[in-house]
Amino acid sequence: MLHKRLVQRLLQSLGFLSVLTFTASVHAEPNWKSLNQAVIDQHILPRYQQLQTDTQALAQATTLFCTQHTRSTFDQLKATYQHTMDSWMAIQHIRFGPVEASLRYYRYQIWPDKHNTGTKQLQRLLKSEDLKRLEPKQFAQSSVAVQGLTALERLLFPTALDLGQFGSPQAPSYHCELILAIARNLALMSSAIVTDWTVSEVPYRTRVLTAGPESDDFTSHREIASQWLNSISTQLQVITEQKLLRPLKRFRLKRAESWRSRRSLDNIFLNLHAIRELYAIGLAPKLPEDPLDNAIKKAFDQAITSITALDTPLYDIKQDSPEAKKLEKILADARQLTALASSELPQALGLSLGFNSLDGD
Amino acid sequence: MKKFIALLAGIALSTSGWAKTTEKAVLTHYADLAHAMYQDSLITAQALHKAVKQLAAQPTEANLNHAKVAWKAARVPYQQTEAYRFGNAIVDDWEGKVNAWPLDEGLIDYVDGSYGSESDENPYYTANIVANEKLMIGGQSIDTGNITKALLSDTLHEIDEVESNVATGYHAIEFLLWGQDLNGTQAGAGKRPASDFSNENCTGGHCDRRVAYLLATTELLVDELNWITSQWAKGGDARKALMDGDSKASIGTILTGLGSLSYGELAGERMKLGVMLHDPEEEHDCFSDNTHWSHYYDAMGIKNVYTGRYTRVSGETLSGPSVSSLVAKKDAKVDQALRDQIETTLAKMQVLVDSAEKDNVAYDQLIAEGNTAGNAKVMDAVNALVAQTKGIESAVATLGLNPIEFEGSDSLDAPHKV
Repeated sequence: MLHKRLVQRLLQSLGFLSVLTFTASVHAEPNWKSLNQAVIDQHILPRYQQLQTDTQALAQATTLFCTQHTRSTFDQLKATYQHTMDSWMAIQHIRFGPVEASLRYYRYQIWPDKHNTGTKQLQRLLKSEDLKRLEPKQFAQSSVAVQGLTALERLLFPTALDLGQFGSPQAPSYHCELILAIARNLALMSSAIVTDWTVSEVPYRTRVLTAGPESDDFTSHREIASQWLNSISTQLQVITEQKLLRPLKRFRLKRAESWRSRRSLDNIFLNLHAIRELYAIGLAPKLPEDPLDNAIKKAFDQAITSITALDTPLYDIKQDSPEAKKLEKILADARQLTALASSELPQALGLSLGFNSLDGD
Repeated sequence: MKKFIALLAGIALSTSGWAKTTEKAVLTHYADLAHAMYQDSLITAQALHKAVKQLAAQPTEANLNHAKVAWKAARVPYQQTEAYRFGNAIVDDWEGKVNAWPLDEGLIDYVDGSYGSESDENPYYTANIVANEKLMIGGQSIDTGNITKALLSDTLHEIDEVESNVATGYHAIEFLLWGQDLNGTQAGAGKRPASDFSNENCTGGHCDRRVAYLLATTELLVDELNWITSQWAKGGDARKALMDGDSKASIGTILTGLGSLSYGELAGERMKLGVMLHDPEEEHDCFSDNTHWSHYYDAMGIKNVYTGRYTRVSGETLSGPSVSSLVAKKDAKVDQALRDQIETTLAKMQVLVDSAEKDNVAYDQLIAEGNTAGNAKVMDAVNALVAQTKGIESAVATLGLNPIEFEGSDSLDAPHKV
C-alpha cells in the first residue's frame, strides 16, 4: 500500500494547501506578480527544501551502509532512496531556474534512456574501477547518465541482489564508492539549488520578482507565469506520452519510469499532486468562477482517484488483467487533463505556451 | 501535423502585398533544388552500390576502403537534403527508411561485450540477424534464412515498433562497413576487417550472410532515393503538395524545415545530448567518425535552401529566387541578420571539421568527459544554431506568417540561463 504512505507524506508536508487556495480566492483577480511570489514561496521552495533534506539523508544512509554492511542498513538506504524519489517527483515538473544551471535537471535524472546509454556507461564505469572519476568535481562533469537517480536505482534495485558486490566494511568495493559519489552529488546539487533561489548574490527569487522592462532577466511577470503553464502542460505530456503510453504500447513495461523500484505509478501520483498545487496557487486565481477552472480541478481529481484505485505496481500488472483496464483508465484521464491544460488553459489565461520540450520526439 | 494547421490558420491574415508570382517562383526553385539534391544523393548512392558489389566480389582491404570512401561521398548531398525533412510531410514520413539514427547495432551483427546484452527499451537489442537464420522473440518466430530487401525493409526495420531497430539505411551500411568504434572517446573509428566479407578466410562468422545483408541494404538505399527523387520531379507528389497549396503556407513549410532542423534535431538531439552524455555513440556517424561532415552539410543545406543556391556534386551551381529575397524585400535587416547567423553556424561547424581533418581530433573526442575545450567547440555550434533559430523566427514574423512551432528537444529548451 504505497499510496497510503505517500498520502500521509503529502499531508504532512503540504497540508496547508487547502488554506492557501481558499485565501487566494478571496481576493478577486490578484496580479501575476503576487501569484508568482506565492508559487515560489509556497510551492517551489518548500519542495526543493524537502529534496535537500531527503538527499542529505540519502547521503548519510549510503555512508552508513558502506561502513556497516548489513541487510538492515541496505533496507534503510533503499527507504531513503524512495523518499528522495518522492521529493524529486514532487518537483520534477520545474525545469525553470537554478535547476537548469550546469545541466542539473539532467544530472538528477535522464529518462527515458532510449539508446540504453545509462546501462552501458554504468557497466564501463564499474569495470574501470577508476576512483579518480568519482572525485566530486570530476564526477559532476561526467555523463549525466551515471550521476543521478536512474543510475542509483540500477545499483540499489538489481534483478538479482548480491550484497557482496558492495564489498565489505573493511574493503568497500567500487560499487560502494559509486553509490556514495552519486548520493553526495545529489545532496550537493540540492543544496546549491536552494542557495541559488534564496541566498546567492542576486537570489533567483529576486530576479524573478523584479521582472520588468528594466530587468536583464525577465521582461514581465506574465512571462514568468507562462513558465508555470508550460511546466504543467509539459509534465502532463510527459505523464501521458512517456510514463504511460510508451510502456503500455505493446505492454513493454521495462519502458516505464522506475520499474526496478516498482514506483512507476507512485511517481505519476506525486506528479499530479504537484502540478495540481502549482495550478491552484499560480494560475487558478486568475479564473474565478470560470467553468474551465472547475473542469480542470475535476479532471485532476478524477486522474488522482483513478490512480489511487490501483494498488499493484505497474511493472507487476499482467496484460489483459483487470488491473490493465485500470491503467487504461488512468491514461484516458491523463489525456483528458492534458487536453484541457494544453489547448484551453493558455487562451483562458491569455498566456502563450512557448516551445514544448517534447516536440523533438 | 500541428505545424500545418497553425500555418493554414494564418492565411486569413495574409496581406496581398506580395506578387503571387514571386512566391510561386520561390517555391518552384525550392522544389528544383530538392530534386537536384536528391538526384545527387541517388547518383552517389549508385556509386556506393557499385563499390559494395566490388567488395562482395573481391573482399580486399582496398575494396573495403573504396566502399568507405563512396559511403562518405554519398553523405555529402544527402545531409544537405535534410533541410527538406521537417515541414514536408512526404519527406518526414519517409526519411526513417534511409537515415534512422541512433541504432542498436546488435540487431544486425556481432557486437563487443561492452555493448551489453539487454536493454529496457529493446527486446531485439542483440538479435544479430547476420548470425541467425531464425529469430525467436516474444514467442514469435521469424524466418531470416534469406536476407532479402523485403525482409529488411518490411519485417526487420523498426521491428516491434522500436525506433532503434534500424535494419536499413546509411547507418546500417555504415555499421556493416566500419563495425563498432571500440576506441571510446579516444582516437580511431570502427575497424572491421575486409575478411568479415570473405567466404574463404571468413572472420566474424557468417560472412556470406553479412555480404548478402550489405548488398540488400545498399540496393534498398538506391531504391528509396530513386523514389524520393521522383517525388520532387515535375508532377511528383512532394512538389505538388507544395505548389498546389496556399503559397504563403508553403513558404511557411520551408521555414519550418529550416527551424526544426536547426533547433530540435541538430542542436538538440544530435549535438547537445552528446555533450551531456559524453558518449562516443552519441554522434551521428558513430562508426565512421564522419560526424563533423554530416553536421557541416546539414548547416550547408540550410544555407542552400534559404539563399536558393546549391552546388551540385558535378560542380554545377544552381541559383534562383529564394526565401531570403522575400524576407529582404520586407525587411533587409532581418534578412541580413539571418544570413549572418547562418554563416556563423557554418564557421562554427568548420571548427569541428578542422578539428577532425587537420588536428586528428574527431567529434567523439570533442564530446569526451573532461575535454572542456572540445565540449566548448561543440556547444559553440549548438549556440549558433539556437541563435539562427531565433533569426528564422524573425523571418517568419517578417513575412507575416503565423508563429510556427519548430521541433524542440528535451535537452535544449532552456529559455533562461541562470
